[in-house]
Formats: sequence, C-alpha cells, structure tokens
Amino acid sequence: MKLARTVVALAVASPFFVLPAPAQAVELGGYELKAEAAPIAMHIYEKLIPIPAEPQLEVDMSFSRANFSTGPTGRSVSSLFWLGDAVGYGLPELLKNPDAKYPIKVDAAHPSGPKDGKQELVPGTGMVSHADEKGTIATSSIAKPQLPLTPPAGIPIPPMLIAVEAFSSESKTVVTADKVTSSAYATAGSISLLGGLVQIHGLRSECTATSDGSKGTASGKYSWGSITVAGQTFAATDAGVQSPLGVTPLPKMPDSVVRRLADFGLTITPPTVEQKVEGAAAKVLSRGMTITLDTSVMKSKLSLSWLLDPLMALLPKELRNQVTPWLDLAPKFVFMLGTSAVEATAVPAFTDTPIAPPADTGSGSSGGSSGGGGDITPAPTGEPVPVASAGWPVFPGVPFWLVLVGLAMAAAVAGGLKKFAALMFGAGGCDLGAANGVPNLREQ
Amino acid sequence: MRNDPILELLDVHAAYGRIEVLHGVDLTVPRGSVMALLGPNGAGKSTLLKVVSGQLRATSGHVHLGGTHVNDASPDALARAGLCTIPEGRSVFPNLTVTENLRLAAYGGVPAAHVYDVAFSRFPRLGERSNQLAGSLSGGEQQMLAMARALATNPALLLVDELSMGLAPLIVKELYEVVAALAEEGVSVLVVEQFADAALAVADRAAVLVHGKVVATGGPDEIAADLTHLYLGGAP
Repeated sequence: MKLARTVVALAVASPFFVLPAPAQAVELGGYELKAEAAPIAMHIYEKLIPIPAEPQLEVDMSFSRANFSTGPTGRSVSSLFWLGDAVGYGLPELLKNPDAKYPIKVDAAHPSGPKDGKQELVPGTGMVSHADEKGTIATSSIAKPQLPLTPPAGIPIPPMLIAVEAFSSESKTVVTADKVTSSAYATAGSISLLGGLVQIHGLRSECTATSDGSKGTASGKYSWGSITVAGQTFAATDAGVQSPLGVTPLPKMPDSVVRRLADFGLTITPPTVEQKVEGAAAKVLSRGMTITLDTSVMKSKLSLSWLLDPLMALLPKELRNQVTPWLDLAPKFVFMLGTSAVEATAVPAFTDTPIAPPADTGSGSSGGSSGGGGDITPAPTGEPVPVASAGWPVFPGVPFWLVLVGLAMAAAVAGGLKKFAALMFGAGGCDLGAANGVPNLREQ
Repeated sequence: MRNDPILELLDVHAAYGRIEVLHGVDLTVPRGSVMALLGPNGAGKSTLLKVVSGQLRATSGHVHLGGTHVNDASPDALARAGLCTIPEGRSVFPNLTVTENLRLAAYGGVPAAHVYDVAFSRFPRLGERSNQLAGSLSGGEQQMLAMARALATNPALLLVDELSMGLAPLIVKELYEVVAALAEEGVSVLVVEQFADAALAVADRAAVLVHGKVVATGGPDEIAADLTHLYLGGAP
C-alpha cells in the first residue's frame, strides 16, 4: 500500500521535476507578416495588354491576403474573384473615373479602418476581412453550405455539421507579445464530416511561418485527394501516396511526353513546398500544381499563317488594320492550383542596458581629488556595490564647478565674438545679409 | 503685398560634383507674391529649388531668407522656419491611404485634426477619398494630396516644382487657383514650371532660367511676350 502511494505521488509530482522552466518571453520591437492564398489562380502575361502590371491580367478565385507590420498597421482583403491589385485598387486610374471601385472585394485596415468588412452573397459564399491591433484575417469562400445533421437518437454525438467547401482560402496574421505568426490555406472541393472527424480533401495547400525575433520556423503542406480519419491522414502529395505503411512514389510522366508538351508551350510543374528560414525570418510557398501554356510557342509550332493570311486578305484594309494587332497577341497563361504563401520576420525590442559605473573603491571621506591620502580599499565581498543614484548627483566639489563656470564663460565669449567675426577677421556668414541663422518666416 | 523680399538669391552657384548647374543666379521673390520661374528642360530650375530648400549647398553666392543668410541651414531647420517644398512627382506614399499620408504631416508638430481640417476643406475631393490608397488616386488628386500635406504645415514660403506635370489642363487650372488663393492669404510662392501659361496666369512676377542663369525677369505679360525668344537663345 505504501509503495502504491509512493508511485502515485511520484506520478503526480513528476511533471514539476521534468518540465523546464518557461523561457523568458522576448518583447518584439518590429515585425512584418504576409499571408496570401488562392485555391485557383490564372495569370496572363501579354505585354500588349495596356495594364501597367506584371502579370497584365490575373484571375484568382476565392482570394485572400493579410498583411501586418510594426506600428501596428495591417490590411486584409478578401475577394471571390480577384483580378489583381492593378484592377482591384487601380480601377479609378484605369477607367479614368475617380468614382470607380472594384465591387467584388472586402477590405479591412488597421488603424485607418474599417475594422471589419463582410459581403455574403448567399449563405456560405462570401468574403470576410478583419483587422485590429493584434492581427489581420481575410477569408473568402464559395459555396460552403453548412447543413445541420441531426444525430441519431441515443448516440452521444452533439449536433454536427457537414461542411462542403468548393473553394475557400484564409490568410491570417497574428501577433502576440513574444511571437508573430502568418498562416494561410487554400482548399478546393473538400468535405468535412462530423465536425472534422472525417475529412476528405480534393485539394489543400497550407503553410505557416512564425518568428520570435531570434528564430523563424516554417512549415508547409500540400495534399491532393486525401482522406483524414481521426487525425490520421492518407494523402497524395508531391512525395507520393502517403499511408501509415510508408510513401509510395507517384508515377512520373515519361520524359519524352514532357518534352513533346514543352515543344508546344505546355509545361506542368508538380506540387512543391518551398521553405526558407534565415535567422528570424521564415518564408513558405506551397503550391499544388502549376500549368503553363505559352501560346506564342504554340502559334509558331502550329503555323497558322497559311490559314490566316488568305482570310485576312479578304478583309477591307481598315478592318484588317484593326484586327491584325489582336492576332498578334500571344499571351502566356499560368494556371496555379492551390497556392498559399506566408512570410514572417521579427526583431526583438532594443533594450538599452545601463552600464554600471565603476564601483567607488575609496571611502567616502578619503576619496576624490580633495586629497586626504585615504586608503584604497575594495568593497567588501557580499556588500552591495555603490552605483550612481537615479536621484540628484552628489555635489562634485569646487574644481568641478570652476571648470563648468569656465566653460560657460568661454561659450559666452565665443558667441559674442562670433557676431564680430567679420569685423575682427574679415570673414563671416555673409557680408550682404544678416547674421547666420534661420529666421521664423511666419512671424515676419 | 510687402515689397521686401522673403527670398533673395545673389550670384548663386551650385554643382553636382564637378558639373556646375547654376552659374550665378540672381533672383528675388517679394513677400506675399507668386513668382513663376520658367525655363526649358535642364535649365537648372529644380536644382535651384534644392539650393533654396537646403537639400543642396550652394558652392558660392548668397541665399537669403527673410533677410538672413541661410546658405548652411539644414533642410529641416528651413522647413521648421516656414519654408515648404512640394517636389516634382508629388511624392505621396502610394501604399498609404489619403488619411495616413496626411497624418504623416502631423509628425512635424501640427495636430492631425488640423491637418485633416485644412486638407479636406481646401480639397473636398480628398475627403471623399480619405480611405483610398494614394497610389490609386488620379494624378490631379495626388497633386492635391501633396499640396494639402504641404499647406497643413502653415508655410510662409512655398516652393512648388512642376505642378502641372502629367496633369490635364483643367486640373492644372484648378491647382493654380489654389496657389493664387494662397498668395492672397499672404503665403509667398515660388513656382517652377516648364509649361508657362498656367503659371503666368497667376504669377505676380516671373523669371526665366536658361542654362543655369536668369536671363529675364519681369511681369508675367512681359515674360509671356518674349518667352519663345528667351527659350531659344535670347540670353544676354
């Protein structure tokens, strides 16, 4: 019985022995956080399109972006259909109409406001943005109905939800006293059952970056066609099909097929997760798949001129001149599936550590320049070393005041002499205007 | 309008390294007047403004503000004394909102509420766009924002560099009306301008700078009549 009590006591007390003391939280002096996500994005590069941006056109479905930095200042934007910053924010300039405003977006900003923004077109489809002094968040989702599922009678399951997500993304930045975090995810076609106990993801890209001012951490993950049961994920990622038994590599496309596709301007880049940590800065880019279609390569390979030239010749000259530039367009399309990107960096607050003055090694009556021949004796061990007081300084003695008064008199004399410098030495600030100095123009 | 000059340049030379740009400029801006400084591209107009505002030291000559020699004064000391520059290219912060841009002017010591009040009463259009990013404003609105930020400091002498650059004529006219109104309130203004018509319309005096020297000064009508001749080599 005694042995059992001892074991129980040790078990209860053991966490106190093995847990390390919590680290001293470091206050942060500056930080910068970025998070951005979109499940589906298409970029169009075509220099002839008169939009001053790179890429010239951009379409992001269910886009979200959250930025936050020291100040604190932050800004978040969510958009179901985002056409890039050039259109999203530059529409007044593009249309030469100062009242033009891109309608499919919701902004939030701190401290300028608005703190919250929300547009819900139909239940489950909408945009939400929020910004305050602790962080920013932007969420954008399309068709995310949440249907209450009545639990069967007698089974102890609280009312759960079925969540079906067609497209959604969330970008979030959070600042605490000693840590900053950027996180983002983008999903497409995922089903969540029983409050997340069973999750089936068609596409999910997520990443997180943190920084505590001295060290950054980065993590990113990409999954495609996965199923998660009670936290156990079976997924197909860039590494292959994952299961508790190991990873089975995905079958690769034959090199010859890849080359043939590239010849026609089509490139398919497999899923990637790029992580970079440099000191206190962390950066992650997680991207499902990238498909690039360069139509300029395709046009040259297909040699369409033999077909187009005779047709163009049939058109009237004026019409031909107008149509020709459009035929010269050869945009490059880049489709990106499941993109999430985050950055986080921070620096600790500057602490001005006061430097203690050397200890007064002489006794109060014998030290100083007043003489007296006092013995120099070190402060006894164990006694507090006298340091400079935060209050009034100790009266430093007559020589100090003599020097101080002498300096003040010298400064006064120098100031007086300066006014007569031109008279005495033939040089001065100006022989035409008044003496040097800046007048207060408002008072003249 | 008082006739004693608020700004006086006497035989001012200035250079970038070994390349001298101003070759002995003499110029006087009477207090409370609008002085238009005209000249072709590369004449040294912006350099002259830099010298006056303390961003560039004159290599020789005298710069007098309010009758005081200020050759060695720092730009911040001159700004505190009431000299304000609106540089070429507007220099607004494109990623900040209109309100945030204006709030920056408050760091000079003027209360933010006063800055907003001056800006939005003088330019109501800025009030309508207070939460819009400055980079998404039209060119004219950006210039209004730059002017509003400058006016909030209650300047005594305003230096304006190329106010009309890249703006539609109607907007330019509107901005110059603000300049004229400022002069009526007692603010002295030196406007550097490549395109003369708008500036001459509101100026009390004008000077033409060609190849780093002032080749003519006079009333706006006299200068307008001789402008082509002066630009094309009429230097004495």
